[in-house]
Amino acid sequence: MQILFKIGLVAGSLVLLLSCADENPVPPVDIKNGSSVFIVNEGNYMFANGSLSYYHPESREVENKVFYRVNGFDLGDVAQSMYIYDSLGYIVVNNSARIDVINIHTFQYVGTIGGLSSPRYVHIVNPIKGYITDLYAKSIAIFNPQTFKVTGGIPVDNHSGNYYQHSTEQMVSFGKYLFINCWSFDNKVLMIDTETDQVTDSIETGIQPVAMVLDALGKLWVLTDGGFPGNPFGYEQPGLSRYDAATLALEQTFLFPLEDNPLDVQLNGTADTLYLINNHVWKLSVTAGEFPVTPFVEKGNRLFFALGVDPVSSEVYVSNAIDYLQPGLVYRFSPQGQPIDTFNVGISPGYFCFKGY
Amino acid sequence: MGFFIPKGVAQYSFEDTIPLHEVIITAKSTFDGVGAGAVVQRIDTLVLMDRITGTMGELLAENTPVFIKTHGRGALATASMRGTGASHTAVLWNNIPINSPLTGQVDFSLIPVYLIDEMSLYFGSSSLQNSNGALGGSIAIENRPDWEKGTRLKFMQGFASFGTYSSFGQVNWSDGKWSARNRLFYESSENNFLYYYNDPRNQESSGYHKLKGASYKKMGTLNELFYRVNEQDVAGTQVWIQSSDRFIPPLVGNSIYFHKENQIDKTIRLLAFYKHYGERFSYELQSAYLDDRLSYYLINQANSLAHADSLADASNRSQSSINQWNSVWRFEKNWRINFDAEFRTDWVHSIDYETTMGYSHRQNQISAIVSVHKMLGDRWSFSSLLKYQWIQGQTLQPVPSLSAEYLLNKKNQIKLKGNISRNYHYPSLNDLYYLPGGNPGLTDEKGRTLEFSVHHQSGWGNFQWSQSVSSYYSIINDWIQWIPSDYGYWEPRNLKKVHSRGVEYYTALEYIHSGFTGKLKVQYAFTPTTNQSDPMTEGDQSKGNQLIYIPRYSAGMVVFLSYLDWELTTITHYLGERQTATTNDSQIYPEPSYWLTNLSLGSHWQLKKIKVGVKGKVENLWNTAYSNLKNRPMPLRNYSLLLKFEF
Repeated sequence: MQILFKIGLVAGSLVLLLSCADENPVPPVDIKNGSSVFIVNEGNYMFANGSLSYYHPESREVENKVFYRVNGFDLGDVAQSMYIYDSLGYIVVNNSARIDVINIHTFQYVGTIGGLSSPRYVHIVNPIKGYITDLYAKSIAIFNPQTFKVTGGIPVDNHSGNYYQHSTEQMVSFGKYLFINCWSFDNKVLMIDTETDQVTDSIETGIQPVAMVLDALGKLWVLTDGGFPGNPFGYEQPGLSRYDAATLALEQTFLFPLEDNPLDVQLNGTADTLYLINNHVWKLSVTAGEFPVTPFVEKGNRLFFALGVDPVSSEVYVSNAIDYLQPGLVYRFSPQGQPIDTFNVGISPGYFCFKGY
Repeated sequence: MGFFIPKGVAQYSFEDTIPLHEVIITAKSTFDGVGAGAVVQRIDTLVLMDRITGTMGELLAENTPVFIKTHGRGALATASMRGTGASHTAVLWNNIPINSPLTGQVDFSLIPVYLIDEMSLYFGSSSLQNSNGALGGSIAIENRPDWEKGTRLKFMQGFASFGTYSSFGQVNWSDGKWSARNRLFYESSENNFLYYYNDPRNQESSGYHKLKGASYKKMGTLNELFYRVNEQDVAGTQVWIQSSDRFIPPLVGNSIYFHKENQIDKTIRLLAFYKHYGERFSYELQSAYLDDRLSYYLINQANSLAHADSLADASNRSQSSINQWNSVWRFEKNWRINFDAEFRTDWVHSIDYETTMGYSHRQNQISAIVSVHKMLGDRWSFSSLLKYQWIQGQTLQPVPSLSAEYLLNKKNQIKLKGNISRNYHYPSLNDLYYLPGGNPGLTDEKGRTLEFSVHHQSGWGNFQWSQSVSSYYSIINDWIQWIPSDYGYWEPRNLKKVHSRGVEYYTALEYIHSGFTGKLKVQYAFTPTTNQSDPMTEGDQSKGNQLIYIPRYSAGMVVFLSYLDWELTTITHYLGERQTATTNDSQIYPEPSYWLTNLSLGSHWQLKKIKVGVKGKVENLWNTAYSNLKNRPMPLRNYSLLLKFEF
């Protein structure tokens, strides 16, 4: 009987002990200015654990969760992308339906752009006009970067009865025009005149254009993921296509195996070399006639998730999301593919944003 | 699978308001139904009565080691037993499994305690006799006929904080041969409670906020008809129809201008049975039809000028036909053989009208169980069980279980129980076929479990004391987890090897003396459930870490005091920290632990032929700001009043 009493006593004491919860200390952020990179960590959908990491290449030091540590509150649910204009950083928090703006030198919170549905990317045209793309709004929001207010929108609804179109994603500037890819259940790149805020033209691409860049030769490279098995919109071989930005003519397509799922394409600082994730990381010249046979970086036992290329050094950053549910890893490579550094960031590191000074 | 207790028809006379003193089944004879070594906790009727206007999710969270993951007051609530996943807990309504064939889960916020007469928890391998694939355990809810002759009416009206009104009506009739009982309920709530949130983005709105867009309405009816064919046979039908219409608020801190998220659940459950209670041979034949419909939509509006964006517009339906045969044969004094079989067909249809993606599927399942129970002398008893399952023509591996029980001390009813078993959980239909993401290549989750427990029950004079310590170690391979796929959407994979082990302690003290009853119950669970898989990719630090949203520690205490016509109940519940990532990284903060206390005071009196009762209740007595899931706030201190009338 005594043993049973003891078990009860121990269990009871444990319960009491466990009631004393620790406070989470918040260490100060050591902000090293100069050329550096922000890593936007998506976090998990509905977990509201998106975060911002900051890496200083010269000192090889990383600071994680900097938005929270400086400001005392979290970014929100699914941090999607970041855009720098002057001294401000616009962090798109997709499922919290907002953009949080920070000072990129102090990380101090400056303001929020609300009035959005499911924002994806920001592009600022001039000091009083910027655009925000959106997954569900069927409209590109126009906002004033001085007031952080949404002032209007560019409707992109194509009134398709069959599919929810158009979702809008990345924006690439070409003179007074912007190219915008429509990824979800779609196959279009829209062209917008930034002076009139009108859709002026479009390109029909392969299924689901996921990312794009404009090279030094005025060619638009569009990466399509080809959809997925069971996709009512279609499922086809993914590919990388080159269009002439002026004429919108298709010039070249590299097709990938059906089961591949390319994620991201980026340019180096001189916009003459492409890097893309399709399982491995690949590198090719914008004038290449053939797709390379050997990857730039072998995937190995890693789950490559996002790609960034430093516009100054052309060093390549690749993230590994691991299991999407723990802090991911970032690998830094020289432009020739030599590993330079590896560091831990936040959950699902999905976007790199480079700060030049 | 059916679980059969040959109690005899006489036992079918419990009225739902008679308090049952027995809380944890420790001293039940092996021949009373459960096998040797089984760990079964029956929920005290007074606990059911205390939560009569609440949901099964709320009751389990407060009173049992079952962890309930709730998305908010009135919102989706799923269960985890012994550290396992939401689809690893089977829920049986009068032996019929009611887990959704689509998800494998049960939404415990949609089961009103009012429709439950008895509830028992079957931990770990104790669930093998009554359910398939319940790696954590099963929860059985039962309805009992009321054979008391005459007609009686009961009516209850509840008023609670946040614009919550609930009405419950019941008509019982019996002539001793037939018994009919109809229960009806309706509940509505504005659910606009205050919560604390510091919003630095908008200084004006920092502080206390009122939750918006979380109102709900629930209504349902349970109609039962029983016929006593003779002293040994009973037949009956049970019809449970329910509907709920709930709005789901956005995560706290969301900046959306207008958010409308709605879920409507409509359920029909029909059951017909015939039971024969023989001296040596008893059997039960049950046939059920279940029909679950769920429609869901999500609309966001960016700003006052924007049109509303439809993000989702989904409809799910599942229909199930379940036929069971459960039988027990006592061919010698110390021998018993159970044979149970179940034939089940599920039809499901799931579609999202926005993406036009969906799937339809039909699945057939057969399972058969033979279990043999033997008592050796008056101290030893043994049980062995073997189960076979066929799903869509595929034969799953047989499920074996061996258990033993030894009565160490007769006076103090100290029993030692041990069990070794295997169990397999077949993937749900969404796991296999959901579009996008369903993975037809999934294999079943495989569990191996070792359990040991000590139980004690004794009494001195007016005191009753019982307690139990249970320990278990389960290794689950091919654990299914949904993760983002290469295509961007989520898909399930047989990813993990999980070790779920732990200790549960339970004690109950009861004192009854001349009009006074005092009860004290304490339960504690230590549930280290860790991922033991090899690293998925380079840098994977998750091995050895607690699974996400599985608390390592939980505890509870119930104090019940009654004197003459007065009753006072306090329930205190502790939930430990829950991890929100697969590693214990310092930058990822776990969801904080919390203590909650509820206090209720009730009385009743006789006004001529009417019995009138009144009960007042304070929930979250210490006004704790807490949430069960991140950014899903729960109410601060709140109140309710319940009036009861019986004719």
